[in-house]
Amino acid sequence: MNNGIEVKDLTVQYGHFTALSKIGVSFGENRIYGLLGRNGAGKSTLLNAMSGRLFPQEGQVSIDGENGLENDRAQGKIYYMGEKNLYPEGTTVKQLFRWSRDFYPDFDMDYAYELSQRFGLNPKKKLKSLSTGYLTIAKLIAALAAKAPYTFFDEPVLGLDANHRELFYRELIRQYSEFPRTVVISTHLIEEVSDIIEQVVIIKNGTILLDQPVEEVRGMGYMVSGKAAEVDAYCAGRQTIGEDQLGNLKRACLLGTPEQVPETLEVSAMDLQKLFVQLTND
Amino acid sequence: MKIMKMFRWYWQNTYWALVGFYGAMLGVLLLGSTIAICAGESEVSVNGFSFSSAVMIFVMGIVFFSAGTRFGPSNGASRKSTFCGFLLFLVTLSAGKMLINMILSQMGQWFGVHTQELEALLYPGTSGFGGWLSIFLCQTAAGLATGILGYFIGGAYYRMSKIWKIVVSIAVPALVVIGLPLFFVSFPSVAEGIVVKLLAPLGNWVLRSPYCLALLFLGTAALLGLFSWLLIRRAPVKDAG
Repeated sequence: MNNGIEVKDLTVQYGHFTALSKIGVSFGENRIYGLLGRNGAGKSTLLNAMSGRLFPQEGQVSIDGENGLENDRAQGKIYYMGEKNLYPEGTTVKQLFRWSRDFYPDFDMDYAYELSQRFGLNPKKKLKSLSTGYLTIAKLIAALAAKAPYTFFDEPVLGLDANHRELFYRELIRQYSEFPRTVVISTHLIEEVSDIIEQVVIIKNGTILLDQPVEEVRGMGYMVSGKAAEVDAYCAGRQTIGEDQLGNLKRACLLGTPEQVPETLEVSAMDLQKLFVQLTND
Repeated sequence: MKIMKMFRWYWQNTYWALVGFYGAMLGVLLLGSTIAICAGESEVSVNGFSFSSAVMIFVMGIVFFSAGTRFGPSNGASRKSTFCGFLLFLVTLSAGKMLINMILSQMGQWFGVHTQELEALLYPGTSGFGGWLSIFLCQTAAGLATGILGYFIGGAYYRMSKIWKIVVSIAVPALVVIGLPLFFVSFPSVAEGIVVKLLAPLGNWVLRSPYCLALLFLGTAALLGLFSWLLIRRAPVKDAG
């Protein structure tokens, strides 16, 4: 693959612990990926290895056909918004924007200030004085304004209230439609991103468990809802991966394709989170 | 390469430290001249400008290893660019600081405040532009060596695990404070041999010319630079992963 990020046989170890084991995955151009996995599955490690923040013990990362490790030009195409604050103490939001502009030539300063205003972020504030939510917002704004061809978000809505989360997702989609690029979102809030992502990559115990378009993943199963007794009767003998019940109403997630569903039951698309839980359970 | 971008970034993080440093230096000069005037003295002597500059550069070296290694690779700059940017920054910082020190020292003389540098004491014969240049080179090389020493120490601590940090933090001062004196007391002839055979000839060579001292500093800087490169070339961005 000439365009996009390609990871081949990537192994990362921390002492005796293998965080990633001979992973092979690719992130094509102009798509939104959801990188999912349980805690410690290796999501952040993969993002760190692709963005050159750590060195793999084995394997290769190529960015648009170039070696991605220790390569200024290739790494300059990636903006990685991580969980940690890696800026020197005393750095202000304004400085964060200015430095991002220095290192990412497409950084849109006007847009960064406009977003700051919309999120209610004071650019004169120091990063260390910001609350968890506002620190996330500052990094999100920098990531959006950088307009890098590959943008990675690691837990992008950490500490954000519902309004800010909504604003971020809306802005991400709006910007993506104006400036298509590759976006990788690593998150635990699967349902929130399920309508945004186009491709799902699930990591389990340092290996890629699933790498498919969302529609295909959703096609792996379906949901039926209706009166509890009728849902139970339908589910008998079928592979059920999750159930919700509220009073007499029940919803069940099943693997496979809907067959002979009674008219009294409603069929809908698979709940991504339920499928994720099923796939990643030990 | 993003060497110049990193170079600018290091400088952007140094402005306020420099303003504070030279504010304090100017304060010392003004205080010195005020005391001299009040005491009816025509002149007063202030020492240690270049030494305090070297200390400041050393501290910046320590700080900038972790700060640069966190910032550079997380903003698309390779370790090579991060390291080379720092070296370029360090050369300009050392030369710039020593130049400002010399200008300040000259300004001080107009107000009756005399500053005396170690190099001028070591090489009393130096005079004129050649002498000025040799001392400037010496001080710049000294700044470079102390800066890289700081960078190396910062790098060593950055790469060490917590346990090693504790071990080294205790062992190194213990070696210097207890180990070395104990060695000199226990093995006086060996210690004398080291001083006579190794350090004395080096000292004599250094005293021949300020350029020799500058060369010694540059050699030390090159060696520490090599070790520092080994520390940074595979350094992970800490807190990542």
